[in-house]
Amino acid sequence: MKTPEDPEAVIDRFLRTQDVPESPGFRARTLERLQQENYTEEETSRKVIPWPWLSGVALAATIAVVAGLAVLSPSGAGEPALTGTEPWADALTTEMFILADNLEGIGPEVIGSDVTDGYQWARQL
Amino acid sequence: MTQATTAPGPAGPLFAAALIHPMMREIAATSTAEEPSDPDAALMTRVATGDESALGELIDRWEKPLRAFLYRSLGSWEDAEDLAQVTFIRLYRYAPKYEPSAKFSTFLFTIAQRLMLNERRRRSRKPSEATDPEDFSHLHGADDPARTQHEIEEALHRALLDVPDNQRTALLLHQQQGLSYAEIANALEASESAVKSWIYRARQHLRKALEDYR
Repeated sequence: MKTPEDPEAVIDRFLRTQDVPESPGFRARTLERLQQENYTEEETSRKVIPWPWLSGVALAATIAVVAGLAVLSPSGAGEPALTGTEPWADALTTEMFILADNLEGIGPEVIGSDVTDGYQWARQL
Repeated sequence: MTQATTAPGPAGPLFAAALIHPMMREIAATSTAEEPSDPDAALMTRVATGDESALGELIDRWEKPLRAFLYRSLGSWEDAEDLAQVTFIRLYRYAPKYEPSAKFSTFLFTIAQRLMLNERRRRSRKPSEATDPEDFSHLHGADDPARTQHEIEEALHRALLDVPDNQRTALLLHQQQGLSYAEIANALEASESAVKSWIYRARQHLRKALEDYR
Protein backbone atom coordinates (compact mmCIF):
# COMPACT_ATOMS: atom_id res chain seq x y z
CA MET A 1 0.00 0.00 0.00
CA LYS A 2 1.52 3.25 -1.03
CA THR A 3 0.88 6.30 1.05
CA PRO A 4 -0.64 9.09 -0.98
CA GLU A 5 0.04 11.52 1.85
CA ASP A 6 2.70 14.18 1.79
CA PRO A 7 5.70 12.63 3.62
CA GLU A 8 6.14 15.82 5.61
CA ALA A 9 2.62 15.48 6.94
CA VAL A 10 3.22 11.82 7.81
CA ILE A 11 6.40 12.74 9.69
CA ASP A 12 4.69 15.60 11.49
CA ARG A 13 1.87 13.37 12.62
CA PHE A 14 4.30 10.67 13.72
CA LEU A 15 6.30 13.14 15.79
CA ARG A 16 3.38 14.98 17.35
CA THR A 17 1.32 11.99 18.34
CA GLN A 18 2.02 10.96 21.88
CA ASP A 19 0.33 7.62 22.13
CA VAL A 20 1.43 6.56 25.55
CA PRO A 21 0.28 3.29 27.10
CA GLU A 22 -1.38 3.70 30.45
CA SER A 23 0.93 2.97 33.35
CA PRO A 24 -1.29 2.47 36.37
CA GLY A 25 0.39 3.45 39.60
CA PHE A 26 3.26 5.30 37.95
CA ARG A 27 2.99 8.19 40.39
CA ALA A 28 2.84 5.92 43.45
CA ARG A 29 5.74 3.81 42.23
CA THR A 30 7.88 6.86 41.53
CA LEU A 31 7.23 8.36 44.95
CA GLU A 32 7.89 5.01 46.59
CA ARG A 33 11.21 4.77 44.73
CA LEU A 34 12.11 8.28 45.88
CA GLN A 35 11.36 7.40 49.49
CA GLN A 36 13.36 4.20 49.17
CA GLU A 37 16.35 6.14 47.83
CA ASN A 38 16.00 8.73 50.60
CA TYR A 39 15.96 5.96 53.20
CA THR A 40 19.01 4.26 51.67
CA GLU A 41 20.92 7.55 51.60
CA GLU A 42 20.09 8.25 55.25
CA GLU A 43 21.21 4.77 56.26
CA THR A 44 24.44 5.13 54.31
CA SER A 45 25.29 8.55 55.72
CA ARG A 46 24.65 7.25 59.26
CA LYS A 47 27.13 4.42 58.77
CA VAL A 48 29.90 6.36 57.07
CA ILE A 49 32.90 7.21 59.24
CA PRO A 50 34.71 10.33 58.05
CA TRP A 51 37.28 9.01 55.58
CA PRO A 52 40.33 11.17 56.43
CA TRP A 53 40.06 10.36 60.10
CA LEU A 54 39.62 6.66 59.44
CA SER A 55 42.46 6.45 56.95
CA GLY A 56 44.87 8.29 59.25
CA VAL A 57 44.12 6.06 62.22
CA ALA A 58 44.21 2.89 60.14
CA LEU A 59 47.53 3.78 58.60
CA ALA A 60 49.05 4.76 61.95
CA ALA A 61 47.83 1.49 63.48
CA THR A 62 49.24 -0.54 60.60
CA ILE A 63 52.58 1.22 60.84
CA ALA A 64 52.70 0.67 64.59
CA VAL A 65 51.99 -3.06 64.23
CA VAL A 66 54.52 -3.56 61.45
CA ALA A 67 57.11 -1.51 63.24
CA GLY A 68 56.50 -3.49 66.41
CA LEU A 69 57.03 -6.73 64.55
CA ALA A 70 60.23 -5.36 63.08
CA VAL A 71 61.57 -4.37 66.48
CA LEU A 72 60.74 -7.76 67.99
CA SER A 73 62.28 -9.76 65.15
CA PRO A 74 65.30 -11.94 65.95
CA SER A 75 67.65 -9.91 63.79
CA GLY A 76 68.72 -7.79 66.73
CA ALA A 77 67.31 -6.82 70.08
CA GLY A 78 65.93 -3.34 70.07
CA GLU A 79 66.97 -2.71 66.48
CA PRO A 80 64.56 -2.24 63.64
CA ALA A 81 64.67 -5.31 61.45
CA LEU A 82 65.21 -3.38 58.26
CA THR A 83 67.93 -5.69 57.11
CA GLY A 84 66.57 -8.84 58.70
CA THR A 85 66.01 -12.21 57.14
CA GLU A 86 62.37 -11.63 56.18
CA PRO A 87 62.40 -9.68 52.91
CA TRP A 88 58.65 -9.16 52.97
CA ALA A 89 58.89 -7.60 56.42
CA ASP A 90 61.68 -5.29 55.30
CA ALA A 91 59.81 -4.22 52.22
CA LEU A 92 56.60 -3.70 54.09
CA THR A 93 58.23 -1.78 56.90
CA THR A 94 60.07 0.50 54.52
CA GLU A 95 56.90 1.10 52.58
CA MET A 96 55.10 2.01 55.77
CA PHE A 97 57.82 4.47 56.72
CA ILE A 98 57.73 6.10 53.34
CA LEU A 99 53.96 6.31 53.47
CA ALA A 100 54.23 7.86 56.91
CA ASP A 101 56.73 10.33 55.55
CA ASN A 102 54.27 11.35 52.90
CA LEU A 103 51.47 12.00 55.33
CA GLU A 104 51.49 15.06 57.49
CA GLY A 105 51.22 14.36 61.18
CA ILE A 106 52.25 10.71 60.93
CA GLY A 107 55.95 10.48 61.57
CA PRO A 108 58.22 8.79 64.06
CA GLU A 109 56.78 10.83 66.90
CA VAL A 110 53.41 9.24 66.21
CA ILE A 111 54.66 5.74 65.47
CA GLY A 112 57.02 5.57 68.44
CA SER A 113 60.63 6.38 69.17
CA ASP A 114 61.73 2.76 68.83
CA VAL A 115 61.50 2.95 65.13
CA THR A 116 63.12 6.33 64.66
CA ASP A 117 66.25 4.74 63.20
CA GLY A 118 64.21 2.84 60.66
CA TYR A 119 62.27 5.92 59.77
CA GLN A 120 65.46 7.88 59.20
CA TRP A 121 66.78 5.05 57.10
CA ALA A 122 63.66 4.95 54.95
CA ARG A 123 63.78 8.68 54.39
CA GLN A 124 67.15 8.30 52.73
CA LEU A 125 65.84 5.87 50.14
CA MET B 1 -4.45 0.42 25.45
CA THR B 2 -3.15 3.78 24.56
CA GLN B 3 -4.28 7.27 25.15
CA ALA B 4 -3.25 10.20 23.03
CA THR B 5 -2.11 13.14 25.06
CA THR B 6 -0.43 16.41 24.51
CA ALA B 7 2.20 18.12 26.61
CA PRO B 8 0.78 20.46 29.24
CA GLY B 9 2.86 23.16 27.64
CA PRO B 10 2.69 25.93 30.20
CA ALA B 11 2.44 29.34 28.63
CA GLY B 12 2.86 31.52 31.70
CA PRO B 13 5.98 33.36 32.89
CA LEU B 14 9.18 31.54 32.27
CA PHE B 15 10.66 29.64 35.13
CA ALA B 16 13.50 27.22 35.15
CA ALA B 17 16.38 25.99 37.13
CA ALA B 18 20.05 26.43 37.40
CA LEU B 19 21.26 22.98 38.25
CA ILE B 20 22.67 19.73 36.99
CA HIS B 21 25.16 21.54 34.91
CA PRO B 22 26.61 25.07 34.82
CA MET B 23 24.99 25.45 31.45
CA MET B 24 21.61 25.33 33.13
CA ARG B 25 22.38 28.59 34.86
CA GLU B 26 22.27 30.28 31.51
CA ILE B 27 18.67 29.24 31.25
CA ALA B 28 18.01 31.42 34.26
CA ALA B 29 18.24 34.55 32.21
CA THR B 30 15.18 36.43 33.36
CA SER B 31 14.60 35.69 36.99
CA THR B 32 11.86 37.32 38.97
CA ALA B 33 11.17 37.49 42.68
CA GLU B 34 7.42 37.36 42.19
CA GLU B 35 5.34 34.34 43.11
CA PRO B 36 5.29 32.06 40.10
CA SER B 37 1.97 32.12 38.31
CA ASP B 38 2.97 29.23 36.08
CA PRO B 39 1.42 26.18 37.79
CA ASP B 40 4.49 24.05 37.11
CA ALA B 41 6.81 26.64 38.59
CA ALA B 42 4.54 27.00 41.62
CA LEU B 43 4.64 23.25 42.12
CA MET B 44 8.42 23.27 41.83
CA THR B 45 8.60 25.89 44.56
CA ARG B 46 6.68 23.51 46.81
CA VAL B 47 8.81 20.54 45.76
CA ALA B 48 11.87 22.56 46.81
CA THR B 49 10.55 22.54 50.37
CA GLY B 50 10.32 18.75 50.29
CA ASP B 51 6.62 18.58 49.42
CA GLU B 52 6.25 15.16 47.80
CA SER B 53 2.59 15.71 47.00
CA ALA B 54 3.64 18.62 44.77
CA LEU B 55 6.04 16.28 43.03
CA GLY B 56 3.12 13.91 42.61
CA GLU B 57 1.14 16.63 40.87
CA LEU B 58 4.05 17.34 38.52
CA ILE B 59 4.26 13.63 37.79
CA ASP B 60 0.57 13.59 36.88
CA ARG B 61 1.01 16.54 34.54
CA TRP B 62 4.22 15.48 32.81
CA GLU B 63 4.42 11.70 33.02
CA LYS B 64 3.00 11.01 29.57
CA PRO B 65 4.91 13.63 27.58
CA LEU B 66 8.08 12.48 29.32
CA ARG B 67 7.48 8.81 28.64
CA ALA B 68 6.62 9.60 25.03
CA PHE B 69 9.90 11.49 24.62
CA LEU B 70 11.95 8.74 26.26
CA TYR B 71 10.20 6.02 24.29
CA ARG B 72 11.02 7.71 20.99
CA SER B 73 14.60 8.11 22.24
CA LEU B 74 15.17 4.62 23.60
CA GLY B 75 12.70 2.44 21.73
CA SER B 76 11.40 0.63 24.79
CA TRP B 77 8.42 1.44 26.99
CA GLU B 78 10.03 -0.31 29.96
CA ASP B 79 13.21 1.73 29.69
CA ALA B 80 11.17 4.88 29.12
CA GLU B 81 9.19 4.28 32.29
CA ASP B 82 12.29 3.53 34.33
CA LEU B 83 14.09 6.64 33.11
CA ALA B 84 10.97 8.77 33.59
CA GLN B 85 10.95 7.73 37.25
CA VAL B 86 14.62 8.60 37.61
CA THR B 87 13.98 11.95 35.92
CA PHE B 88 11.30 12.85 38.48
CA ILE B 89 13.54 11.77 41.34
CA ARG B 90 16.31 13.99 39.97
CA LEU B 91 13.78 16.78 39.63
CA TYR B 92 13.03 16.42 43.34
CA ARG B 93 16.72 16.43 44.27
CA TYR B 94 17.51 19.53 42.22
CA ALA B 95 14.38 21.42 43.22
CA PRO B 96 16.11 23.44 45.99
CA LYS B 97 18.38 24.92 43.33
CA TYR B 98 15.45 25.75 41.10
CA GLU B 99 15.41 29.37 40.03
CA PRO B 100 12.77 31.19 38.07
CA SER B 101 13.85 31.89 34.53
CA ALA B 102 12.87 29.49 31.81
CA LYS B 103 10.10 27.17 30.86
CA PHE B 104 9.60 24.23 33.21
CA SER B 105 9.54 21.84 30.27
CA THR B 106 13.03 22.98 29.25
CA PHE B 107 14.22 22.16 32.72
CA LEU B 108 12.51 18.78 32.83
CA PHE B 109 13.60 17.65 29.39
CA THR B 110 17.17 18.78 29.99
CA ILE B 111 17.32 16.38 32.92
CA ALA B 112 15.64 13.67 30.86
CA GLN B 113 17.88 14.04 27.85
CA ARG B 114 21.04 13.86 30.00
CA LEU B 115 19.81 10.69 31.65
CA MET B 116 18.85 9.33 28.25
CA LEU B 117 22.31 10.03 26.85
CA ASN B 118 23.90 8.26 29.81
CA GLU B 119 21.61 5.30 29.22
CA ARG B 120 22.48 5.14 25.53
CA ARG B 121 26.21 5.36 26.34
CA ARG B 122 25.80 2.56 28.84
CA ARG B 123 24.06 0.47 26.21
CA SER B 124 26.69 1.17 23.60
CA ARG B 125 29.33 -0.28 25.91
CA LYS B 126 27.33 -3.50 26.15
CA PRO B 127 27.04 -5.54 22.97
CA SER B 128 23.41 -5.55 21.97
CA GLU B 129 21.61 -8.48 20.49
CA ALA B 130 22.02 -8.50 16.76
CA THR B 131 18.83 -8.13 14.81
CA ASP B 132 18.27 -10.46 11.94
CA PRO B 133 17.68 -8.39 8.79
CA GLU B 134 14.96 -10.89 7.92
CA ASP B 135 12.97 -9.48 10.82
CA PHE B 136 12.48 -6.32 8.79
CA SER B 137 11.85 -8.02 5.49
CA HIS B 138 8.18 -7.15 5.72
CA LEU B 139 9.13 -3.49 5.53
CA HIS B 140 10.50 -3.97 2.03
CA GLY B 141 8.74 -4.78 -1.18
CA ALA B 142 6.78 -1.74 -2.12
CA ASP B 143 3.81 -3.70 -3.44
CA ASP B 144 3.09 -5.65 -0.26
CA PRO B 145 -0.57 -4.95 0.43
CA ALA B 146 -0.17 -5.83 4.09
CA ARG B 147 1.54 -2.60 4.80
CA THR B 148 -0.39 -0.54 7.21
CA GLN B 149 -0.11 2.80 8.83
CA HIS B 150 1.30 0.99 11.84
CA GLU B 151 4.16 -0.34 9.73
CA ILE B 152 4.93 3.10 8.42
CA GLU B 153 5.08 4.40 11.97
CA GLU B 154 7.28 1.48 12.94
CA ALA B 155 9.65 2.29 10.09
CA LEU B 156 9.76 5.93 11.17
CA HIS B 157 10.35 4.88 14.76
CA ARG B 158 13.32 2.71 13.76
CA ALA B 159 14.67 5.45 11.53
CA LEU B 160 14.43 7.93 14.40
CA LEU B 161 16.43 5.61 16.65
CA ASP B 162 19.13 5.52 13.98
CA VAL B 163 19.82 9.23 13.85
CA PRO B 164 22.52 10.73 16.08
CA ASP B 165 21.41 11.60 19.62
CA ASN B 166 21.60 15.37 19.23
CA GLN B 167 19.55 15.31 16.02
CA ARG B 168 16.87 13.05 17.46
CA THR B 169 16.64 14.96 20.73
CA ALA B 170 16.42 18.31 18.96
CA LEU B 171 13.71 17.00 16.65
CA LEU B 172 11.66 15.50 19.49
CA LEU B 173 11.98 18.50 21.77
CA HIS B 174 10.89 20.79 18.95
CA GLN B 175 8.14 18.82 17.30
CA GLN B 176 6.93 16.49 20.00
CA GLN B 177 7.33 18.74 23.03
CA GLY B 178 7.00 22.14 21.42
CA LEU B 179 10.21 23.70 22.72
CA SER B 180 11.61 26.66 20.83
CA TYR B 181 14.96 26.60 19.05
CA ALA B 182 16.42 28.82 21.79
CA GLU B 183 15.19 26.53 24.54
CA ILE B 184 16.57 23.48 22.80
CA ALA B 185 19.87 25.28 22.23
CA ASN B 186 20.07 25.90 25.97
CA ALA B 187 19.19 22.34 26.83
CA LEU B 188 21.68 20.84 24.38
CA GLU B 189 24.43 23.44 24.86
CA ALA B 190 24.45 24.36 21.20
CA SER B 191 23.75 27.32 18.97
CA GLU B 192 20.31 27.85 17.52
CA SER B 193 21.68 27.39 14.02
CA ALA B 194 23.14 24.02 15.03
CA VAL B 195 19.75 23.01 16.44
CA LYS B 196 18.00 24.00 13.20
CA SER B 197 20.55 22.04 11.22
CA TRP B 198 20.12 18.94 13.41
CA ILE B 199 16.36 19.07 13.04
CA TYR B 200 16.67 19.42 9.26
CA ARG B 201 19.03 16.44 9.01
CA ALA B 202 16.87 14.28 11.26
CA ARG B 203 13.81 15.02 9.13
CA GLN B 204 15.80 14.21 6.02
CA HIS B 205 16.62 10.82 7.51
CA LEU B 206 12.95 10.18 8.26
CA ARG B 207 11.99 11.23 4.72
CA LYS B 208 14.40 8.61 3.37
CA ALA B 209 12.77 5.96 5.55
CA LEU B 210 9.44 6.83 3.96
CA GLU B 211 10.70 6.47 0.40
CA ASP B 212 9.81 2.78 0.26
CA TYR B 213 6.23 3.64 1.04
CA ARG B 214 5.67 6.18 -1.72
